[in-house]
Parts: sequence; structure tokens; C-alpha cells
Amino acid sequence: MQAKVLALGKELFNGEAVKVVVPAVNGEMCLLQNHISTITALRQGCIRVFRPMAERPISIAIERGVCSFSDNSAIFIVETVA
Amino acid sequence: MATLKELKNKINVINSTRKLTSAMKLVAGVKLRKAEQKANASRGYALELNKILSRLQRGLLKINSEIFNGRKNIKNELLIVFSSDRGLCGNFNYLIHNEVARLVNDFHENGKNVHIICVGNKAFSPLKKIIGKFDYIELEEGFYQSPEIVESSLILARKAIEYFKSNLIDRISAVYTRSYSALKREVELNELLPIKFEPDNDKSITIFEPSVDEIIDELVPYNLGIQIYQTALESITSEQSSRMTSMDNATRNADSILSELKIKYNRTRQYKITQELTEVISGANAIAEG
Repeated sequence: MQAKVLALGKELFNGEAVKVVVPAVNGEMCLLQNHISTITALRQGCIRVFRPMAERPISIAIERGVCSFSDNSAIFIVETVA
Repeated sequence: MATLKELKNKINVINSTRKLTSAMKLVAGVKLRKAEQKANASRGYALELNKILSRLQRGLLKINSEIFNGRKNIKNELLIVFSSDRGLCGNFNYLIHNEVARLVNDFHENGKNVHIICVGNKAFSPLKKIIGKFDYIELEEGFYQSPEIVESSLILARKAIEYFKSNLIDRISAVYTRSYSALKREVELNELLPIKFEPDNDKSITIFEPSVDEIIDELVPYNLGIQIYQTALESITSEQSSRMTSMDNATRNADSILSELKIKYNRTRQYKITQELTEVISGANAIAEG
């Protein structure tokens, strides 16, 4: 699936991902290929993007944000920690 | 005829003014590029945010539905007017003032009241004089002084949403100057609320977490803040571009005045030398003849 993490004025991640773990307001949520369409508010925490063939995930600290997933494409609009 | 000393003084004054306008042109150029870069960098972000809002506008409660579909009877308009904090930027503020005066007149003719929020204090005093008895005007102080304009924009957006929810206003628009090129700038009216959204063709089931209305309550002020931020950047771009043009004109004018003054100075100096020579020669002749 495709994942894109956008903060105001900069693109923090854009590329292929096998799994993304996000800090949703009701608890952590894991997005995998063919996840049902969702729009979820995000709280303060870390977005972890697991890339194919990569050992470690990319961690992005956020203040808050929103995540939109549909058609195997995840977009995260976030406010980063200042 | 001006004396040599007077001309020299004038040349010095024009020279220092020329240095000042030339420096201001350079500073405006740097600020213009910065604002353009920021505006370009935030465009994709604003676009994706709007796409998410478009997906959210299904199955909303009444107050949130008004945010997308607008109110039937619009009686109170809110205008966010973007002018500048500083002068010396040509007709930038004058154009804004004229357009707002025309809009206020139109609203009055249609029986509407206007609430104006001035961003940048140059438009505040002249606009205070044109508002009607039932209108209201306020100055958003220190908007451009904030280290991050996005913070000021979010504060302004939250205030505007509060006005909307408490029925003080029915529609929010921004009046700002858009710069098309170095020479072409136009004042535009951009409707910010109700939110313009793309029709959502996605019919698949979507889970909203925690709920549509909670997400909307959070996202709508944020989206409005980002729109205000982009409009402010657009206005800053136009202001700096206008300042660059007027400072460039001022520098050229100073150059042409300087060249005229230098010719005048040289002529006066030459005249004085010729006069002194004539006096010396005639003196010498008088002695020789005597």
C-alpha cells in the first residue's frame, strides 16, 4: 500500500509501506493492505511506517492529526512536535 | 540659481534616499521568495486536508451540515481583510480599501450587515470610516508579528468559527490581493465558509473514529486556519511584490534626479570657474593697460 505523511510545509514520508501503526484517539491502530476505508483522528504519539525489505520502521512523532485510508492508500495530515 | 553647496547637499540627500530604496527593494525580494516558498510547500497539505473533509461531509448533524451547505438566509457577512502593517508598497492598501468599500456598499444595498476583521493595520483606520451603524469592525492585532503566521491563522479561524456557531455571522470570506505577475495584481474575494468541497464519489463503507462530528469539530477550524494561512501568504507575496516594484521605481527616479542634479552641479561649477577666470583675465588686462 502507499503511505504519505504530510506536515505543514513538508512531506515527512511518501512511499510503499507494508504496515503503518498509528496513535488513534481510541488507541493504537494498525493499517495493513486491504484495510477497510477509514478516517481517524490521531492523538499525540508516533506514526510507525514499516517499509518492505526494511528492518526498522520509520518513526514520526506527531502532536495530533488525521488519517484517511481508502483504496490501499493512506494519507496522514499531521501537526508535528515543535 | 542654487549655489554649489546647496546642490551638493541635495545630491547627498538623494543619494542616501537611493541607498534606502535600493536596500528596501532587496529586502522585499527576499521576503517575497520566502512567502512564495511557504505558499508552495503548504499547497499539497491544504489540498489533501480538503479531500478528507469532502469525504466527511456525508451524514452530518445540522450545525456541521451548515458548514458545508451554508445557511439559507444570509444576513451577516464576515470579511477578513488582508492589508499590510507597513506602508511604502505602492497602491496595495488603496486597492484593498476600494474593493472592501465597494463590497460593503453592495451588502448594504442587499440589506446585509458586515463584520470586518482587519489583518494588518493599514486598512483599519480608513475602513472604520465607511462602515454602517449595524456593522462591526475589529483589528486582529499582531497577526504578522507572530513568529509563525500559521499560529495566528489558527487563532483567527477558531474565533471566526465561534462567531459562526453563535449565529453572529452567516458566511466567512477573505478579501486579499493575488499577485499574477510582478506587474499584475488583483483584489479577490474568496469564500472560506461554507467549505467548498469536491463531490465524493466513493460509495464504499467508511469507518469514522471517534465519530464524523467529532472529527469535523476538530478539522473544520483547522482547515479554515490553513486556508487563512495560505491567503495571508498570498497577500504577503503581493505586498512584497508591490513593494519591490515601487522601490524599484523610486530607485530609478532617484537615479534620474541624481543625473540631472549632477549636470546642474557641473554646469554651476563650470560657470563659477569661467567667471573667476574672466575676472582674473580682465584684472590682468587692466593692470597691463595701466
